[in-house]
Formats: sequence, C-alpha cells, structure tokens
Amino acid sequence: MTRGWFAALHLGRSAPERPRPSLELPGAQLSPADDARAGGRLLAFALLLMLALHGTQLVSGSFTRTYDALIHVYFGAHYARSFFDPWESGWYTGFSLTSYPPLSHYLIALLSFPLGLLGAFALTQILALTGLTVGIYRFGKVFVTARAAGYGAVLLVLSSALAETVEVFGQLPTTLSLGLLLNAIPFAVRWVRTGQKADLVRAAMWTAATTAAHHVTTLFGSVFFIAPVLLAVVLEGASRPRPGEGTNGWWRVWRRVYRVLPRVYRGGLYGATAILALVLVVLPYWLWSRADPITQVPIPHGSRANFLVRRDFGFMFWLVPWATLLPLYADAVRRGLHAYRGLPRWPVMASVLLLSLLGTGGTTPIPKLLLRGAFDILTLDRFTFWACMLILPLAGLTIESWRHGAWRVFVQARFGARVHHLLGLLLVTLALGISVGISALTYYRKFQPDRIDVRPIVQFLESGGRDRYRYMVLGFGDQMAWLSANTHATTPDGNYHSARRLPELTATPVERLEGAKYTGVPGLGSLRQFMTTPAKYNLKFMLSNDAFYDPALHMLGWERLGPLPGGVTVWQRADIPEVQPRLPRRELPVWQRVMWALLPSGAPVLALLSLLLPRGAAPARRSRWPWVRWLAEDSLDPPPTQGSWWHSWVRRLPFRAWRTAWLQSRRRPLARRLLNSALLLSLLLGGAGLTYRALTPHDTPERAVLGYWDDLDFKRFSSAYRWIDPQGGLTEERWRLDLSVVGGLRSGYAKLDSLEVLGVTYSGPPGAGGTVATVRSRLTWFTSLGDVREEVSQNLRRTARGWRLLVAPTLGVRPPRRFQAVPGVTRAAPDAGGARVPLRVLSQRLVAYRAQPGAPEQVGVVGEVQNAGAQGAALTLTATVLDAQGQELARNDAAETFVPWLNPGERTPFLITFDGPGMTVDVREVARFALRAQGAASRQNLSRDVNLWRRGDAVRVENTGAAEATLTNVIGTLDDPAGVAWVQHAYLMEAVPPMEAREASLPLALPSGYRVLRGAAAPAPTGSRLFANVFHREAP
Amino acid sequence: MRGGRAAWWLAPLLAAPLGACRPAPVTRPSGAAPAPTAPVTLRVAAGTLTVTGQGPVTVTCDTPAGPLVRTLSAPGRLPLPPGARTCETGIQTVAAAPAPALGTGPDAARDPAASRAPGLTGALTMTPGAIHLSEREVWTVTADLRRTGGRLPPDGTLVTLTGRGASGEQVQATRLTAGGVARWQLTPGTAGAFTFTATSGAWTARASGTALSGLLGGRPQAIFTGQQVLLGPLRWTDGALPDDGTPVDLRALDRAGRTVWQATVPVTGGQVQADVPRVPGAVTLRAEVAGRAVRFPWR
Repeated sequence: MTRGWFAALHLGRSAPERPRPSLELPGAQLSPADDARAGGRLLAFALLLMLALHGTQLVSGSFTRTYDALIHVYFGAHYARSFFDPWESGWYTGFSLTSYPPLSHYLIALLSFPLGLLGAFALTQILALTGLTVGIYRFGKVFVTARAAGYGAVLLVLSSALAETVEVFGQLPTTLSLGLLLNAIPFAVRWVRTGQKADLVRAAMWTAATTAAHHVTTLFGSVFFIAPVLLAVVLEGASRPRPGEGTNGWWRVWRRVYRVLPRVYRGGLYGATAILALVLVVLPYWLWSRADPITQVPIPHGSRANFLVRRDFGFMFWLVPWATLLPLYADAVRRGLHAYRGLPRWPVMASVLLLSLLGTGGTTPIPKLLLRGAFDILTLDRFTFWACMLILPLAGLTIESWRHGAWRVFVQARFGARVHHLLGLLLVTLALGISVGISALTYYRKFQPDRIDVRPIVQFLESGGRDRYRYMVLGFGDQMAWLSANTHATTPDGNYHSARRLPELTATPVERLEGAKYTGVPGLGSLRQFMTTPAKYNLKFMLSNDAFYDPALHMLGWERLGPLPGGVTVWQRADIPEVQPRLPRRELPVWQRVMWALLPSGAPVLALLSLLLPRGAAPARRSRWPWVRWLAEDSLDPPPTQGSWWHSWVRRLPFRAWRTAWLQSRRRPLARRLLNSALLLSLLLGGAGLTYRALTPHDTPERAVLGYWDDLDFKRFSSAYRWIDPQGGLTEERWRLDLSVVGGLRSGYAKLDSLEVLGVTYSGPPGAGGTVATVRSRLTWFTSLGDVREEVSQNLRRTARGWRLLVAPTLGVRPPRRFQAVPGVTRAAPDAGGARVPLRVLSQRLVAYRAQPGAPEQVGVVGEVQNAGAQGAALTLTATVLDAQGQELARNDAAETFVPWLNPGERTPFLITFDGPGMTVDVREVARFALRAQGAASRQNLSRDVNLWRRGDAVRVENTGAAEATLTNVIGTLDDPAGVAWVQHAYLMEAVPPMEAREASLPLALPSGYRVLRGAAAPAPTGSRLFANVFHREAP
Repeated sequence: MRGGRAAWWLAPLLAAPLGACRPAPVTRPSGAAPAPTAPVTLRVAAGTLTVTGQGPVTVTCDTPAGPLVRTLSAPGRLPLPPGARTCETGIQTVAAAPAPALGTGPDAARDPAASRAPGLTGALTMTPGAIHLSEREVWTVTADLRRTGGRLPPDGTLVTLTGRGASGEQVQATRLTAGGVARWQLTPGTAGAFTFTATSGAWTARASGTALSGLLGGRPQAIFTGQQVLLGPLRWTDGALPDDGTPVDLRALDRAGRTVWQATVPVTGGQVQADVPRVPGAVTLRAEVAGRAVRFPWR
C-alpha cells in the first residue's frame, strides 16, 4: 500500500528507478495524516519524558544547586514585593532591574503566591521546557517530517545540552525565550508562505513574548533561527511559478525575483514587527543600557578558552552539551543538504555549522574574528546550546532513518535485526544515561556548597539593628541570591555583574567576590580590598561558609563572633559607620515604570490570545493595483522536476556513490552477519581499550608525586595512601593520624595551585625494581593570604605497583607539659559596644621603595602605634597620600603588617601600602600624607602566649598557651633612632601545638630603593623587634 | 528445692576448670633463702637525686612544667630536674624545693634595679639557672609585680620580656599579669648564657641563665656516607637516651653559607639515620641536635 502511494508520487519520473532501500520497508514513508499522527504521539511521549526526567528533578528542588536559578528567584522575589518598582537595593549598593528582561521573573513572582519562590521557579521552568519541547516539534515540522520532528522533540528531552542548561547551569530565561521563539517561527513561516494576517499577528506577538523573556534570544535568534528558515521559505518560493510570469525574454532572468518578491516583502514585514517588538517591549532596558552603559571589564569565561589546551573547559562547554548528539552529528548535517517538499534545508544546516563553530570558543581564531569585541563579553556556550537545539529536527531525521529507513536497511543487511535493535537500545540507553548523569552532575560533583539554612542568618541580620550595616557572604555559591531573596539587609557584592556600578567591582574581572577563591589572585585581590577597607562600604558582617577565608579575615582585623545555627560563621569588624546612601538611586520616569510592568507581562498574554484569532480566507480576487498584485500570494505548485539540479549536485558529493552502493546491497548470509557483528564488537572493545590506554598516564616518579599531592589536596586520603610504599610499619590509620595532627595554613586553609618538579635523581636504573628516586618539587599553595610556596623532597621506590613514595610513621616528641600551660589572662574588657579607645602614634613616616629591584617605585606609610587606653582595642589604621594641592591620591588601611588588636599599653608597628586594585600612585606627585588611627573597645584576640625566638633569618615561634596557634603571622621591624623604619612579615606554614615550636624564615632588610619622603629619618637601622598575630582555630 | 541441689553438685564441676586455669603457684628453689628487699630511698643533695635500694626504680618529680618521670634500671644518682619541688618513688616522697640547690641559685638573678621604677615594683625570677637543651628542660621566668604600697597591679597588666643569648639568639614575648604575676616558659635553641629583661611601663628587671647542651660528649658522633647520614649513638648527660622523635636539624649549605636544603629528622633508638638527596650547589652538611652542631663536606 505504501509502495503504491510512493509510486503514485513518482509517476512523473521518466525512467523506472530501483526504489531506495529505505523505501523497501513498510512504514519508511508515511502519508501526511499518518505522519502527523506519528509526530503527535512522539511529541506526547517527549512531554511525558520531560516531566519524568526534568519535572521530577525540578520539583525536588535540584535547581538550588545550579549556577543561575537562585538569581532568577531573587529577581522574582523583588517583583513579588514591588511589581512597579524596578529598583533593587539588595546588591551592589542598589541597581535597576530594567537591566534584565523580566518575563521569567514575573512568572516566578506570580506563581510564588500559591507555591512559594522555589516552587514558582520549578513550575516556571517546567512551563518553559514544555514550550521548548512543543517549539522544537513545531519548528522541526517546517523542514522535516512530523515524525522526524517528533523524534527531534524526544531527542531534546534526552539531550545532554538541555540537561546541562537546566540542571547544571539553571538557566530559565534561555529555555523560556527559546521555546517562545521556536513557537513564533512556524507562524512567521506560515505568514510568509500564505500571507494570512492572523499569522503575522501571532508571529509578532510570540516574538514580542520572546523578547520579554530574553532579548538576546531574539537578537541572535533572528540571525541563527529566523533568518535561515525564512531564507529557505523564500528560496522555496523561487521554485513556485506565478500566474503572471512570462517565459521569454527578460522573464527568464527575472522570474525568480518575481516569484520571491511576495515572500521577501512579507518576510520584511515580519522582520519589521519583530524589531518593533524587540525595541518596544523592553524599551526601558534599551534606555538603561544607553544611559548607564556596562563598564564592567571582561570577566574570563571558560567557554572562550582554547578547548584543546583547557580540556576541562572543553569538557564542560563542548563535550557535555554535544555528548548525546555527537554520534548523530555527521548524518544530521548531511541531511541538511536535502530539501523537504521543495524547502531547502541548507540554510538551517549552514546555521548549525556556524553555531557549532562559534561554540568552540577560543579553540580557533575564527569565533573571535567573527564576533570581534563581543567575543570577550558573550558566553559562547550559548552558541553550542543553540546549535544543539537547531540540529535536533535534522537529528530526528537520522533517528527516523534508523528506525524506519535507510540506516535500518543498512545495519540489518550486515548485522541482522537483533544487532540493529541491540545497537538502538544501546544508543538510547547511552543517551539516557548521559542525560541523567549530567542532570545529576550537581549531586556527585558539587558546584555549590551544601544547602544553607538562611533562616538563622536572616534572623541575625534583621535583628539588633544589624541591617543598618552591610554584610557579605563567603562560600555561599549561588545561595547568596537565596539569602538576598529572603532579607532586606544589603551587601556590596552580588551575582549579576551587568548591574555593577562600584568602580572597585567593575574594574575587576571577578564574577562575584563571594567565590573569589575560584578566580585566583585577581579575585582574591578584590575581596581583600573589601576586607581591608570595610568602612568604605559600611561592611560590618562577614558570613563565612568556607574556612578558606578565615586566615585573611583574622589577619585583616576581623573578629570571629562564632557560628550561627547551621554552621555559618559570623565575623565582625569594629568601628564601621552605618549605611549612608553612597550612590544615588536612579529614579525611572513613571511612564517607563508602567511600561516595564505592563508590556513584558502583557506580551505572553497577547501571544496566547492571538491563537484565538480566526484564520482568514485566501484572497478571492486579484487587486487592480500592480504593486498589490506583485506582492500577493498566488504561487502555484512547483513542477515535478523542481530541484533536480540540486539533487544531481548533491549526488555528486564525495562518497555519495559509495554510500548508495552500500545502502542498496542485499542482506548478507547469516555467517557473514555474525562475522560482521563480531568485528563490530571487537572494534568497540578495542577502541575502548585503546582509549583507556591512551588516557592512562605513564608511570614515573613525577606522576606519583603529582598524584599523591593531588589526591591529598582533594582530601582523597585513601587514594593518596595508594601512592605510598609504607615503611617502618606504617598503616593507613597511622598515616592519617600523622596527617591530622599537622594543622595550619597548608593543611587547613590552602589549595594546591601548582606542582613543579625541580629535579629527579635515581639511585640506579630508573626501570629497575627497587630503584629509589628523589623528587624535589616546588608546591605553590593558593591561600586567602596569597600564594605560598614551599619546596619538598620526597623519596620514591620502584615497586611492582609502580613508583611509590617511601613514607614512615612520623615520630614527634609530645611534650609532657602540653596540657599544663602557663596560666595567663585574657584582658576581658567590658563589651562597650565599640567605644573608642585612644591610640598614640609613636612614629610615622612616608617612604618610597621598590618591591623588587627594578620594580616601579611605590610609597608606603610606616610607623608604630600604642594603645593608650585602659581597654583592649581593635585597630583601624588608615593612611592617605595627597598631592601638593591637597588632592587625595590614594587611601588604604593597614592589612597584614600590623597587629590588629592591642592590650592597654601594647604597641604594634604598621606598614600601609597603596597597591590595591585600582590604586596607582606616582611617587613624584606625592606631597604629604595623613594617618588616622582608630581604636574600638574589643575583648577579642588579646591573649599573648607565644615566644618569638630569632636566630639569623629564622624565627622560631614557641607556643606556651593551652590552645593550638593555628596560624601565626610573624611581624618584624627594622628600627632606627627615629622609630620604625620598615616592617616585614611571614606566615608559619604549620600550626604550633601547645608547648611546641615551629620555624619560619623572615629575613629583615630595607627594601630596594628605600628612602624617606616625609617624616623623621635616621641613617640606618639599629635594631629589630618581633611581633605576632596569632589565630586560634579553636578559641582557648 | 531440686534446683538448689543441682547447684550444689554443679559448683565443683565449674570450679574445677576455673581452678585448672589458675597460674601455677610460684615455687622457690629448695634451699634458697628469700631475697632481702631493700627499701628504696631518695636523697637530695647538691642538685643531685640519689636513689638507693634495689631493682628498677621509677622516679617522678613534680616540676613547674609538670611531672617528669625517669626510670632507672638500677639505683644510682641522677640530676635533679630543674625547678623540681618534690620527687617520689611511690613509696617515699622527698621535698626537692626550696632547697637552694634546686635552681634558684646565683644564676636565678633578681635585678635590684627592678624595684626602682615608680608605680610598679617587683622581681624577675628565673628557674633554673642552667638548663640542658633537648632534655625537656625549660626556663621558667616569673615577673612578680606590685604597685607602690604593696597592692597588686590590675590583672592584664602588660609585661614584655626580651632576651639575648651568647650566640646571638634573641627572644621577645609578651604576657599579661594574673594576680600580679606574669610567667614565661622559654626553651632556647642554642647553648650559652642568656640575659632577659622584663619591662612593664617604667619598671624593668633583668635575669640571666645558662643553656647547656644536653648531649653527652658535647659533639654528636656522625658518619656521612654521601647518601646517608648517621648520627649516634646519642645520649643525654644523665645517661638517658633521647626520646624517639627528638628532632635533629639537617641543612645543606652552599659556599655562601646559605641553606639550600633542610630537613628535620627524628631520633629513633638513640640514633639518627637519614637519606640525604643530591642538592646542586651544596658544599656542607650541617647536623644540629641539642644546641650542638657537626659539619661534613657534602659528598
């Protein structure tokens, strides 16, 4: 029956042709009605699968572990509170929400009333995914069969790109807007094809709704989705003759133009409405971006990296999204060469290829050449996502062929039906496994900290007048947005860098200060600026969920108040002024506020209502106006030979004949099929084996050392122990015990940044068993206090298991006095609520110096202060350098080169430098300086339990207290008769247990180019002193 | 009633195997007289504790730094731990302090100038006058302050101690007073005479003491084979072996005397055996323990 229908379609062919193998099977080609039914069933299946795979995860709240979801929840919370006021004061000292299209946030706000904010997000995302699934199906039907479009919809749900976007990145506006755009395109296609005005209204309304959800999707979607499809529709029109066209003379040349003229016109009309929608719906956004252009310096993003060099980024931003579609990619693109019912697919295919190329980031120079300046602003993984979406209908064709067509014939002829089914099952299982695996990526590969209960934090911030100051969170991940959604207290940080206005932030290539440790030294530098000068930002509280930052907080003068219920530690800084409006609030005109509230929310409503518009009848008569006749839709069906030249060209493509021959060959005998299957299996297993071997690194001493430290760094202790050849009866338990008793900066607060092998020496032939190798390596530890380097030497022996480290139990004398510390006293000042404590500046001078010989000259203020009060004091030392006109050149606070807490009568030296982010001081311009020393009553960190021994450059810190000195900052001064000449400091790498001692190196010397610019000076240093700032992890 | 009877005849059955498991009674050799058990006695004289009696003896001395336990395989003499107040064997306790020989001798100086400071008066006490390095001995320096008129200064009064040794080693430490007393425990790293100065406001006082190497023989015996260094046997001046884990500092020095490699290796069984890597530029290997050092040419 099917063959008969197919034969009827091809009656016009001149010569009888052998049917293609894909058509020898029943069901390979369906009638339009059957095709639509099959497509509908597949769409329903895809929707159910979407609910099962993504809906359940969303309802379970998995999105709270993603990157972006909680930011949208925060925005939604704002609109739920104040719908007509787009000013949000929670982040960045205030910003306008007109900087982001609001539709998805409106939906969250609306649904939050019955469901709560988190439930509202989940439902909005489910709605967005529903729209996207339906959109892929409807969009696909434009240029593939309904059944292939249905397979495309199923592939969408199984695709790793969607899993990553929704379940890892937590993007909502992207999915919502793309769904709306894909649903708008079929209306636009129908409008261009038929000229039905109702379709234009629908297309315009759905495009406006797209803009309301995400303007970038409309912008780039116009280029990569709308334009290729409309171009295909216009080209389709070129093959459809019109009644009025001639056949002779100039018509031979111009008839093609005449044929496409109506479609070009209607396409242009739709384009104009789309642009109008793009401008009007989010007009306040455009006005905001013009009045307040983004001054943010480019923030590095992994999607712009060279994926061959940074394979981790390649994995995340290329391999993961393409994972499920890569096996289908080549065949899907090939199918883009063909036409569908006269509609050429090549524009879509070209768009897929271009998007795929742009998605490779900095792997080739082409994306940067194409995108120019935008390359450093855009996140290029978006292009990969769009490529994955655009290819889905074509991939649906491949699946259709596998199940019903040529691929099925090909595989069954060579391997048999069972292998075909098995391979199909294997591929589906693989795709499902990958999709589920990526959806669950945030479970087993945590990108976010564990869920934080924000209720005690909110209670803390909003009680006792603490909301009069700003707070900052550390180690919260995107849950900082969830906290902000629940409190009216404000933070100078934020997670939406487009809205930043503070120069300290816009000049910094850091996404958010909360996770500064992930952005290396630049990020940490910005964070330290906020920690060092908190008064500038009214920043009084630090809420830390990551002990990594503890050293910096303590050394920069923050006092630990203790943990809140839930484990978040509160740090406080004394003497911080209350929040004053630092940057004026920018008021929007009323008409813009009303427009912002009504248009983006009205656009989707109008889009839905447009579906109720009746379809008008085709124009019955021809107009008497020639231009109307030219632009009217009156094309006829194309001739049967339409497109033959294209098909003939496609057939001449390389491998086409070879492929056709293979496809057309008959079914092989059983023995041959079995042999083929065995060969296929061997190929698969062999490939897997070779891949495993290629990925397994060679066994060398360097590899063993690197593996050991890497495992240790990530706290994979069992794995780290496997690199060890135990000596002297060492057991894993003993080794762990030895590790656990070594605290301090390295083991408690550092992350291994790099390991450089300096040299390897062997006791014998490297390949011989029993050979001992000594590996000297330089470890660079990344800490909140900056990079810390140390050199270690480790011995390894070649064993049957490979190179292994020789480690013996650590022997250490446990002093019998360790629990009998000398009794001391901690000055317990009454809690006077930060009352002022007088300080006396004993000496101060402005000096110029070079950090290294040959480095640019810098200035610093150095001196000594004393607590002249009767209470313990927390210090804030601020220095300012001014030019001859009294203009302030720079201002900074003392950081690590002073003791931030002083007992009555106690002294501390200090050195204040001006090398923070954005500070550049030309020594020649400096005319004078000013120092401000403030003391606030404090009862913290006033115990003094260490002895500081000095012998040459070595400083030995002896702890006679009852508690471990977890971190020790040893501060040394060089004194001259006029006072303190210079200050240096060094950190101990290890904690000092009670009654034990540890050593650090602190060479004391004046820096290169040292000269006194202002203040008392003396010829040369005459002495030195030592001071210590000690952090106790557990307060004594 | 029946149960009670059963218990009666079950009891011997149970007692038999229990009795069979008991250790055999000690049988003395026939004809041998019982060994006389001489009582263990302690006597303190001139900084030395004399133990008489028989058998291994465990002596525990109460020092300011905590109890210090010494086990003697046979009675004899051993130096009195610095600052010890009492010593006991479990049978007898002798008062070790405040005998002058216990460390408050001439080295535990009291600076007469200390009381001249207006406002605060007081004394700086240092015990013992001499300590042996690495033998768990520490200096305990105590500043006892009074206001003029004999009242105690307020708790939390700041006192800063600075000190310097003959070999150039310096120390600086700050303490807060409790009940007018500020106390330091100090363990120097080098041998020689040390002078300490305590300051609180205008009050200043001095004390001095001597750090001696605890190592018997003064200089560790060592063999350097080029790949390994072997130190030992090490023994303290009182004859005891160093505790396992006592740190020995190894450094490779270049021609300019700079440290190009360093490791701290522990003593095990009175000996140190360490693998030494090949370090470019190293010309000297320096090993130091208990304030004494020994040097070898590198390789």
